[in-house]
Amino acid sequence: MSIEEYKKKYSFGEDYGTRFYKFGPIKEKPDIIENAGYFIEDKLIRRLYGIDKDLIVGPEYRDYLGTKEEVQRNLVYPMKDGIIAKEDVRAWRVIYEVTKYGLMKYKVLGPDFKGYCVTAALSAVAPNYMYEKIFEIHEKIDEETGLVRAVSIIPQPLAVAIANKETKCVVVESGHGNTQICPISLRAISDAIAVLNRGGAEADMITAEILRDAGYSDLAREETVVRKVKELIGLVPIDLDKAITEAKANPERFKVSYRFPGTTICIELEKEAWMRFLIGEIVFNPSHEIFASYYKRGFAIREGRLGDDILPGEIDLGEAIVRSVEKVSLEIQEEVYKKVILSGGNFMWKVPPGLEDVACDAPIKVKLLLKRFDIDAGVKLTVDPQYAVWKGCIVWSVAVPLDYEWSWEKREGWYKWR
Amino acid sequence: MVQVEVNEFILFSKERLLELAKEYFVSRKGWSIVPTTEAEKVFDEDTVKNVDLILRDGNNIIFVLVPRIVKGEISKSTILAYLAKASKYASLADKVYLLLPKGIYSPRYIDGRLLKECGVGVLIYSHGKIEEAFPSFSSKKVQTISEIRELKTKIKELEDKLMVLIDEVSLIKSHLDKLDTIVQEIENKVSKVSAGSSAAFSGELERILSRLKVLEKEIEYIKGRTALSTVRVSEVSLSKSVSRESDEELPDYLVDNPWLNVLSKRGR
Repeated sequence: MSIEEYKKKYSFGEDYGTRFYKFGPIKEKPDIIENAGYFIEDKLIRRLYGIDKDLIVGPEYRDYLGTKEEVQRNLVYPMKDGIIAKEDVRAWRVIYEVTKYGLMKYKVLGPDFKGYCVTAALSAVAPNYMYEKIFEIHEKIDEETGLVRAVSIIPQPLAVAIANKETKCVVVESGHGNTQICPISLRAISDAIAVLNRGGAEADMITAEILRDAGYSDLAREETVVRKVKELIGLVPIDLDKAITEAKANPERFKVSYRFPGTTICIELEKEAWMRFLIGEIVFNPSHEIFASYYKRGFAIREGRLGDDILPGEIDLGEAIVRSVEKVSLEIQEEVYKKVILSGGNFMWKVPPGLEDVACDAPIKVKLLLKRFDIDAGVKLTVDPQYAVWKGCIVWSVAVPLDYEWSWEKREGWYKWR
Repeated sequence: MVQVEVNEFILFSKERLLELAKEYFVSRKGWSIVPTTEAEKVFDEDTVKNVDLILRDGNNIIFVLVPRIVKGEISKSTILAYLAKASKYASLADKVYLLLPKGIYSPRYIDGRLLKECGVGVLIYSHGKIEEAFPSFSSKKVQTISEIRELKTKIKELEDKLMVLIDEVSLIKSHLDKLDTIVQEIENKVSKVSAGSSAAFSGELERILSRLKVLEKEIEYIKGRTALSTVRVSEVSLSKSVSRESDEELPDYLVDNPWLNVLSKRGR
């Protein structure tokens, strides 16, 4: 069997997300488990369950959950905004177990199998030590199981571009804690990667403030309730000032009422319905003067980074994209603006029927923000938002030659130990 | 027969009680007494010494403890102390019983809920007869679950060893193929030498040729064995196999993807 045929048969993708770990060999969709582990440190409890491991990963960890306090103490989500601290021993143990769980699920016995060619995707801002740790973990798993032949690591935005079949583009990935802007021209242009320390969490905070202002202080403390309310009532305005004027003049049109199924919790917003537009606006343009009163309440956004430069925390997304693309060679700037790909849960905004004159989705909002800089951009949502990163990993595994050794300078190639 | 009367209870000596218990259990179909010599092989010294009677019912092991009831000293705490002692053995045996006088089996001395929690049952005797008053709910199941987990780990270890074996088998196969080629080459050379050699060497050459034939047969035999073991290995393979999709069946994201061409040139 040629090496190309071997890779088509034994390529493996791994997407380390903050919440989920997606993994699997070549197929249509990956397997998904939570990127989390539950520690059972009490030997007596382990004896009672009849287990000898002190860390459970995969769907079965739910079988062992205890009280709220125990869950808070023992359930570990290792990644915070895609990053794990170097010395966080518990977090790295979870990553090891989660990775081994995924590979063992697709354990192969066959005379031609010499281990998977694994491509893992990490945040675009993951430091070198995270790469080293991921290599180390795979080497260890290979020593124990013989399941890994070589490992490569790529930034998540690059994987998104690959899955979208775009070789020159800008990928904007926005999750719960941060937003990464990554221009791509046959590779991720690392010096042009911008990171904003804001994402879904800021929309959550505004939602909580709105709930407090509307008299639902008790609900504002419940994180899951706030997130649900954000998804249900949040709107992205085409123009915030016009949207607020319209909503204040016709509150009936924008009023919203929702009762949580199976509970007595009910939320009604009519007089405050104009605030629905603040939830969407803060994701794209937190520099609007209307947010000044919220910043005074202690609500602050940390500064972002663009290479060695600092970006203001409240910079609007359009300007951040422009600042990032300006770092790219002039010849290809026009080309990459034509393909701006939005990825991540923070861009999944919908427009309720009847509100098309005042609200829009994420691609239109970004297009409008770029228009202010006289840039006529082509903006679209990624194909298959949930699996795009994993798909990009598989393509990388299949295509990159196996004799291309890992280069720390370029941060690409195959890392091998046997 | 030694009998001691305490209030309304008739108490027997421990030896007599054990005799009664043995008679009672042996009379039940399928039950037998485990001799001390056999028990010593399975349980530790402390267990054999402290458990008064060890019985077997099919695959189940039953422990019976006979508390020492002293005239004038019977209290709830005395019984509780014995209950604690008996519960210690609940994880070792399938059932654990305390053998008590009928009169003591009352709420005054016994807490049914506690018995259940400890997994200890009660046998009572009265007028020379024994009967089960409270069933034993042993917690030996926990042991069984951990045993299953242990088995699973062992299966995993075996699977790993199997993978190593497969690698070794394929290595042996490739070595054999090489050997086969070498033998063929030697044979050819020898036959050439044989054709032009003098009669003085013909005897020696014949000996080499016959040795080569023996070697050939041995190789054939080893090849056969290798093929056989490969089949066996594939038969016992427990893991999920990854189906290989032909080019036409490749997922959409791998079809007409310009990155395939771009990335295939990396490192060149």
